[in-house]
Amino acid sequence: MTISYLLSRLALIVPTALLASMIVFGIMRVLPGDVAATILSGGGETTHSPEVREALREELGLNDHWVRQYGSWLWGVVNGQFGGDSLVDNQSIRSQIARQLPVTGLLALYTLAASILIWVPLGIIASWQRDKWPDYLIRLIALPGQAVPSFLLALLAILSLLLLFGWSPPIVYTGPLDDPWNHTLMVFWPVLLLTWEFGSHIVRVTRSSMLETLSQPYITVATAKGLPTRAVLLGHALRNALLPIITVLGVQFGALLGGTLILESIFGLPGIGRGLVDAALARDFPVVQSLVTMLVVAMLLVNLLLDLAYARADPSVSFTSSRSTAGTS
Amino acid sequence: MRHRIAAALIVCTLAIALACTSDAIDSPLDAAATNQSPAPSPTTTTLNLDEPLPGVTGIEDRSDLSPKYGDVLVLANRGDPPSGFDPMRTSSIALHHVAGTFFGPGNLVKRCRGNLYLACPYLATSWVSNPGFTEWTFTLRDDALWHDGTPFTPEDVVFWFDLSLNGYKLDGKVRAPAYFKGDLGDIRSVEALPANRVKITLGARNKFFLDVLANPRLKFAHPKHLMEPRLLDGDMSVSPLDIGLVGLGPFVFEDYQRGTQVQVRRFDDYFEVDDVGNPLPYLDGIDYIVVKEPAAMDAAFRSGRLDGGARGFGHYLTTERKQGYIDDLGDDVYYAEIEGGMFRLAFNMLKDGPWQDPRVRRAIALWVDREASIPVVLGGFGWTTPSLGPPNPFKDKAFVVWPTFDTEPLAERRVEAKRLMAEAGHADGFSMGHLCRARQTPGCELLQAQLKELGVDLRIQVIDEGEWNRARVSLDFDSQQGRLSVLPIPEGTEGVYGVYSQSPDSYAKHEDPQVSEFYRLLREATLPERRLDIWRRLQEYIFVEQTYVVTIAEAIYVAPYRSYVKGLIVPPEDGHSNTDFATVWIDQDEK
Repeated sequence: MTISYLLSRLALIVPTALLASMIVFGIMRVLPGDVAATILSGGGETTHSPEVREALREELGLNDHWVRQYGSWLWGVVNGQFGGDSLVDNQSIRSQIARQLPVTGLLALYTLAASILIWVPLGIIASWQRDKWPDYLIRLIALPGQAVPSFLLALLAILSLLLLFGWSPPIVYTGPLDDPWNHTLMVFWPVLLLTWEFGSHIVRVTRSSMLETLSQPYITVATAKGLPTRAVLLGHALRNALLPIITVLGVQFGALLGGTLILESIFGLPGIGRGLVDAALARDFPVVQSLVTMLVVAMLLVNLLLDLAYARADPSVSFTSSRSTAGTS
Repeated sequence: MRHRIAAALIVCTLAIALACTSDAIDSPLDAAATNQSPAPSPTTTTLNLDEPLPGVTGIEDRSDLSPKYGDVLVLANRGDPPSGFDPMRTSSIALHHVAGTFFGPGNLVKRCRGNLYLACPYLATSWVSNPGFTEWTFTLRDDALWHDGTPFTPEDVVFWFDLSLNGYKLDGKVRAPAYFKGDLGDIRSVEALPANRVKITLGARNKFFLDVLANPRLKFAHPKHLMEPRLLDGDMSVSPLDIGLVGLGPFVFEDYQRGTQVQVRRFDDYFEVDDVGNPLPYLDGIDYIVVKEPAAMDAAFRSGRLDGGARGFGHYLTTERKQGYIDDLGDDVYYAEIEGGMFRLAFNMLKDGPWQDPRVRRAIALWVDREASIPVVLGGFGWTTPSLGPPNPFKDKAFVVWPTFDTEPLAERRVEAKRLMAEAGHADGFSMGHLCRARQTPGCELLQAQLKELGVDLRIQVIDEGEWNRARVSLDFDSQQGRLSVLPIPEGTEGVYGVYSQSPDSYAKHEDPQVSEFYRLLREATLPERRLDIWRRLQEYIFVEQTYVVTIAEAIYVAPYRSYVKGLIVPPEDGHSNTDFATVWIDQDEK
């Protein structure tokens, strides 16, 4: 790995994020609907005059040339305001992100950690116990995570808790430092469900990757040499099976963010996903642009981290700075 | 325990089955046939605007209970209050369910707590108009304070009207007027007079100006001493939230965590008192928890985390959800019933199509099975009534309440509908587009299924909220449902039944001068009987003779409250009313 490779990858993030923001800007303009009408309609239940709507469009700068509108947003990003203010709330997008990002970030972090700690070992066990009852059991547990939509699992979880124990998760979110117990109770169920969904992919990939590795001659040799099973599985097989697992972790990260979007609404977590849906429905384009651009940057950073992890997991992977790509030497 | 596990399994199975089928209800009619409940019998009420309407105002009998001070009420709220909590920008119930507490329940006048259809003093103690109803002079109360301790003055009133009517302009920057500017009518001037008075001069006679001002959406949330400096600094979009939500209501804003909760606490200097002179409010405060998902609200309520439900379409209970409450909590809950939105079909008369023929429109009106819509579309609670709801004093003419017109059995009506279609030359049917708000999809599907049998191919165009707010005021559709709130008086309906050039947000787009003439006559009417008579004729014209709008059923919105929540005044209609919760208290003995 070279520093120049790292720098070139980081530099690529800027044009990619810009391009993404332009695409979102274009989509929001092409979408039917008008943020001024949405604001004035009060949930679609009151009337207003075209004159008032036009005045509001003027006030919000929606009648400006699109280049100027995009430029205003971009300036809002460059000067550290994360895109300026929301059209709907007139509140700073920076403050919105400052509130929402930790919620979604923690949710994703907990899920990632739980998925790696629980599902990767289960995948290893499933491969080691192939076609025996532990393998079947693990696959049976993982299946609904893939097959059943998370919103349905969430509603079933809430209903089941209510019917069985007369209990429901807290509804007022607190940070982990403000009230750890309330925080734990509130995020436990969404994390559990996200881990189920997220991890169900990981366990399958881990199992299949491990199975492929376990069939390699060097594993047979290692076993024939009398190495302990643990050393064979973790020291030889897992190390070589890691690349697909790392890949699926990265690919699934986007899906994980999508999953938080739905569960945040159901469990009352004030995160980015919920904010993004609300802003998109209201056509609050500066907020949508800022949040999507931020998510794009997050995904690019995750991909970069994955590339770095490849090199860590597999010494045969190196980075060729001249082409700014990862490759096998 | 075994029963609980069995119950959970059944619920899981049903939920999965429901999820598998919910995307495609083939025939809402079938669902209706198996789940039909009779509509409540409509009541009749004698019109008397001078007295409260016993039995229809929703006032709880508290004769044997003494209100107790203290406690914090915990209510669900449908979402974050939008637009910086600005009532000039939005009428969203997500705002007004909360904002009544710190901005107060009214304007210079408010809807009476005992009778929603009367105007009572609020920030004005008295008023007088000239004989032509063009000049209204209000005397303001002298004990009203903004929450920062600043007295409420006539200058605040002038500022509020100016901001509402004209917005603000400074150095090329503009602030838009209030969305309700049109509702205020032709106001020529608002002047501050000595002795704490304000004179409002109208450009045209308006006997119902008090009804307009009593609309609970018209809240004072813009103190001049805090808003004006921000506007002068060029902050045209300054919102009440930006200045700390300083209002005049019974509670003071305490804290807002976006996406989580809004907290308000008792305002000790609030001016209202109860019947025996005790200061209001009784509660120490209210916590509004933002719960966007109705199922999550149900679970939180049933597990004891909430004292009351949210107001707003989607969060109001359906029969199935209410049954869950009854099963879990029995008599520990009572259910506030508020008349709400109308399920209807309206035609775009300014676009060519077979619906231009009144016989076709009438045939569709006769064909629709209104009763079936209540369980399918309205969650099981509703009336088959054409316009203003049964508790409304303006409904008392027998004509207005179903089934007193089109009283024939459905089968007979449908025979007549077929005959009219054939007579209009559409015996083989035709195709008609239908603008369908995504959240009203069940209603669209019901209409589609029903009209298919008449030969009408209803092409549903499902659109989200953003597009709905644009398209419904356009002419880009054949038919739609509309879903707008109107003042609960006949004159207040012009915005939804009037001509398109004057009321672009009307349900049916038409330019029928006869409708304008009816509204002119209504405004000119001096006797209540005359007013009712014109209103009856207007409805007959719109709903029967011309059938611009097919009125199907009106929802009854149901919100749950714990039985220990006392003193709640439930408005018979319009859930925006009485959201100050000043009279509410908690009975700790029962809790």
